[in-house]
Amino acid sequence: MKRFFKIFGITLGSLIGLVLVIVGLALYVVLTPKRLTSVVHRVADSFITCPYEIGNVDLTIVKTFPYVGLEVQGLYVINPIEGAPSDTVLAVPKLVVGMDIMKALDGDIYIKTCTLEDMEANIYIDSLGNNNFTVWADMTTEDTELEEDTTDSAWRLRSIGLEDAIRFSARKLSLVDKKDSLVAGLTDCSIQLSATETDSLCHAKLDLDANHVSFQMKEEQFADNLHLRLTLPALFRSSEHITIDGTQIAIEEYTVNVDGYVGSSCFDSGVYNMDVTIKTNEWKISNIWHLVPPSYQSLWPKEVDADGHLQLLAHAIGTYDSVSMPLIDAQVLLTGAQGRYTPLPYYFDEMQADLTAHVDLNKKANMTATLNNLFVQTGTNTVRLSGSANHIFKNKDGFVIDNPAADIKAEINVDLAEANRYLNSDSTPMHVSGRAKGALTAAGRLDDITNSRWSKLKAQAQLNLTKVDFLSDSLQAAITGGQVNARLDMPKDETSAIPTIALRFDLDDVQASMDTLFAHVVHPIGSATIKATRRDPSAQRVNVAFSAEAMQANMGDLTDIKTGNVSIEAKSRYNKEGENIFFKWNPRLKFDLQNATAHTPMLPVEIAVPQIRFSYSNRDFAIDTSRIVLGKSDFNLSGDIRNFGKWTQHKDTLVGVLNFTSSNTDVDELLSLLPQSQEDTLVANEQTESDRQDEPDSSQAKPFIVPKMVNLTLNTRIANAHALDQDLKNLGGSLVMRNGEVYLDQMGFVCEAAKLQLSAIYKTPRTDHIYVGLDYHMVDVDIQQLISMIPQIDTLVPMLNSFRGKAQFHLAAETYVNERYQLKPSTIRGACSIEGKDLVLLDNETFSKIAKVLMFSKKTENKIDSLSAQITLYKDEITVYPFCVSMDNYLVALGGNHYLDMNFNYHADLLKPLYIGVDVKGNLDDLKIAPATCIYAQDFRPIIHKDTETKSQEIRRIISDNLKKNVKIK
Amino acid sequence: MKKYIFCLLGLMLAFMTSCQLEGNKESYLYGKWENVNKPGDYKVYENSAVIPIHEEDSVFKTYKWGHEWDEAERTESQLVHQGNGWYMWKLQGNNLYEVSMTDRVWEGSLTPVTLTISTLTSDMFIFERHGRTYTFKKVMQ
Repeated sequence: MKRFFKIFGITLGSLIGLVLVIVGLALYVVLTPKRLTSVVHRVADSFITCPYEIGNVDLTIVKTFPYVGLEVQGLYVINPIEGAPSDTVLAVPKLVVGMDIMKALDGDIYIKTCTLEDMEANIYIDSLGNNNFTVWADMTTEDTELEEDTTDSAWRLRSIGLEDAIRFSARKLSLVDKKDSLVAGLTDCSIQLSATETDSLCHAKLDLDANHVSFQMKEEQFADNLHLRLTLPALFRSSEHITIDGTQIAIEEYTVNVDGYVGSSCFDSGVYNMDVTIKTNEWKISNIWHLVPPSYQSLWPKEVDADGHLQLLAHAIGTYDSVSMPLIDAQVLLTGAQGRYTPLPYYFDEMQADLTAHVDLNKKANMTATLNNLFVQTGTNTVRLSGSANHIFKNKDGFVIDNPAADIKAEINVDLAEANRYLNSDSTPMHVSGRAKGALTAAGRLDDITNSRWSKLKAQAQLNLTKVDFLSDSLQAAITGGQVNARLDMPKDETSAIPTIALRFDLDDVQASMDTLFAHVVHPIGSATIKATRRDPSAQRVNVAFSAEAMQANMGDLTDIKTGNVSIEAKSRYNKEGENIFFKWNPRLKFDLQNATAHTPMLPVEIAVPQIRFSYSNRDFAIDTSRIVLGKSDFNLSGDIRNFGKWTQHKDTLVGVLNFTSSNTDVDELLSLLPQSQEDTLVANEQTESDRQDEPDSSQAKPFIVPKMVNLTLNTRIANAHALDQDLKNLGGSLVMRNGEVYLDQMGFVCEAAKLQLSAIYKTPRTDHIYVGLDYHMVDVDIQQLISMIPQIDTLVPMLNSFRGKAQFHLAAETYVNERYQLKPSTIRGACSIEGKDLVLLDNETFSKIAKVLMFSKKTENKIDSLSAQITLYKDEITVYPFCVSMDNYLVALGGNHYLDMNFNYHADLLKPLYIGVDVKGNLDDLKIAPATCIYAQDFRPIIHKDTETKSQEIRRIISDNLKKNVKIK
Repeated sequence: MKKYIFCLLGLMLAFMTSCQLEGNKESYLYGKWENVNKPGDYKVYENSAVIPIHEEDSVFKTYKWGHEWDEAERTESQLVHQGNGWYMWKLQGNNLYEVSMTDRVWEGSLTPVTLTISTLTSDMFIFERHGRTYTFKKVMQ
């Protein structure tokens, strides 16, 4: 068997070798180089219209196997043209062409392979468009029909075509286009063009590898000595559809991959359909920088000094022709970037960006740019930004961003100390530290964002703050942490409407100090919202809320204010038609303060506020509670006031009832709390003196005018009070303000010295004509206590100072005063009644003088059984109606009058045991006491008509009865 | 007996004469008077009887209304009707009793004033009070 194969192999090999030898001999005999050279010349003559040179042509099989080929030693096409760098258009030192020998023998040359070695081409186009490469006869189709050979040779060329592949090995390819100012050159390159056709599909492929590529256009060097690789596979599904999947262009190590197809009904028509995707590998910016032409380098902002990796992805789909452009979706990726933007004092340690753009050059509005992600890190600060913008279009100047609508999202994590670079100035040094982390979103027109026209934007921010400290000059503030949210929404449709602005904060702890001031707020929570009202989009609603667990404020070491829970809610609805500020803003307020205390050097006692809670609206001002403890005193005010808003419009009456209650009020302590330092007293005295000397100025003081359309009642109830060293109980009464009048209605209290009841009225019919009236009653009052409590009583009844004991005191008086509260004497009207029992007449100088005239015994006991005196006030005179006192064995009647200037005219009669009278006249400095006839005997010890009431007694009775009618205390 | 009758008639005549004189003197008061020594200080005595509203005020049913004002401090129009500046007056002999009213304090609080007339003619009115003499002249009937 082995031998069989050996014999068979030798036999077969011999046969093949014999055939090859026969074929070779035949070829060399028939297709001699001379004959082939002649044929090639004839072919060249048909194609080349300019001078050329073709070297020896030889037959080859080995170099073109399995095809038979021609090896041309030198092909030179020479077409000198003025200005061209070379007169040689094409120089091919060696050209090998493989073809189907059988068809070639019939005159149809189908080039299967074509190899051009060390080719050099010099393409030149002058400024007029004349070129040196139009040297070829018409050979636009692969099946070029040649002129019929007129020589006597039996072989003639019928057609020539390219079937498979062309390989170029170029030493130099150059293009000089003066018309378009183009200069391009490829040296040391290889080009391979191949094509195969299967099942009506034509596969073509172009491979180009040039070690040195240069390209210059309009004196701009776009490429200089670059390594270029191009792989262009093309699948011709039809003449109208070319798929170029797998295409790759590489300049140096930077590649561009292209996939997709290009189609056209006619590639000369200028109308192309395409669906092409482009993708680059990652390009390091610093490495490709030298590839960017200088003029384009200048477009790069000088302020930007950055490096990183760029990657571009793009997809173009649609039709390109003179009126339309394909839609382009592009994506630019920046990774691993670092650098700085010189206006900003930061070095960005890391930057990442992902930018996509949808470009529609056909429709203006559909162009958008989307920043999917921009991440920047500088030091410990990070900012992550995303957003989109539309309204980008292209005009004759290129791409224009026509104030696009932008939608921006940002995540930040920044060290607030970075802001110090901007905050600090020579005049006001500021320092801030801390950390802010959160998200920001903004939507609106780019112009509005860049110009901070916040009212035009829709924006939202959410920040988490950590250990924020702020220091500026003497101001220092610290926030331990917290969250701040802010939102800005523009109305969707109503352009005139109010934007919605919302702010919410939730902070852990805030402290601030400035000079000697210090403030501390524990866990402040707040919100503020401004938005349009539902009824009127141009009107705004404002809602504000604030609460804190506790607050503290100090001013030096002396003033200290602390609070517990504080809660404030405020709502407002703006109405431009409102008549005044209350109706323009329609405020609604709720306030709640708990457990507050205050220490201040102005007050030696602590001010404590257990709770203040009230609510306010234009309709209703309701004080739920307002407790204040000041030293030994405590107060609580509650109540309700209604119609405040309409009252300001003069449309309705202000109506309200307030209740003032106190379990204990120490008036003495409260009065002692009033500032009465020596300096104050001096200032007050100087002021008084100044007022006297400068009457016109003081006359400008305006009195309190009771407002009209007011119906307010203040009910007071004080359980215990201490005033003038007296313990008072059950102080109660009402202060009523009604229709331009103020009433103090039956204010009463009980003390050790007396039971009191006071009513008063104040009304202001005119500024210079003010009414003041009072009704004052004291029962079981100690006369000396009465005088100490109301020193003015000594002016009304001077002799009262001579008595001691219990009495009743009733006073009703009224007068008008001018705008400076000066009395109008002609309007003074009043009556007073003093009644007492078991009084003691004090032994003073005046009494001694009178007693001496009346011849009182020195043993006389000063006790008086009863006293009943009636006094009237009429204009400037005070009249004491005659009254009688019984003392021991003596009966004395007193009466008379005096004036406000303290000129006296009194008379006293001793009616028992004998009749002696005495006149007391003059003033306190010059009091004249002289004996006189008795004039009161008929009143108090009538001899005749014993039971007849005298006129004087009648008047006294009228006075006394009328005064007592209003006494409610018992 | 005849002596008693004449005496009685004489007393009756004297009483009637005194009543006639007092009635004439009161009519002199009616009108507007101005203080001679203090121009602008006016008093007006009206022939308008007080009509008590409350029973306890019936004591004043024999009084008539009057009012007074000092132009230096207020005008007549600024008076509150039957309030401060108004008074009830009654003439008894030489005593002119005036009970001054008040605007408000405290309904029923009255200020009695007694003037002692020394001269009262149709155009002159002189009275004394607490030793001081006041002279008024009539400026309007």
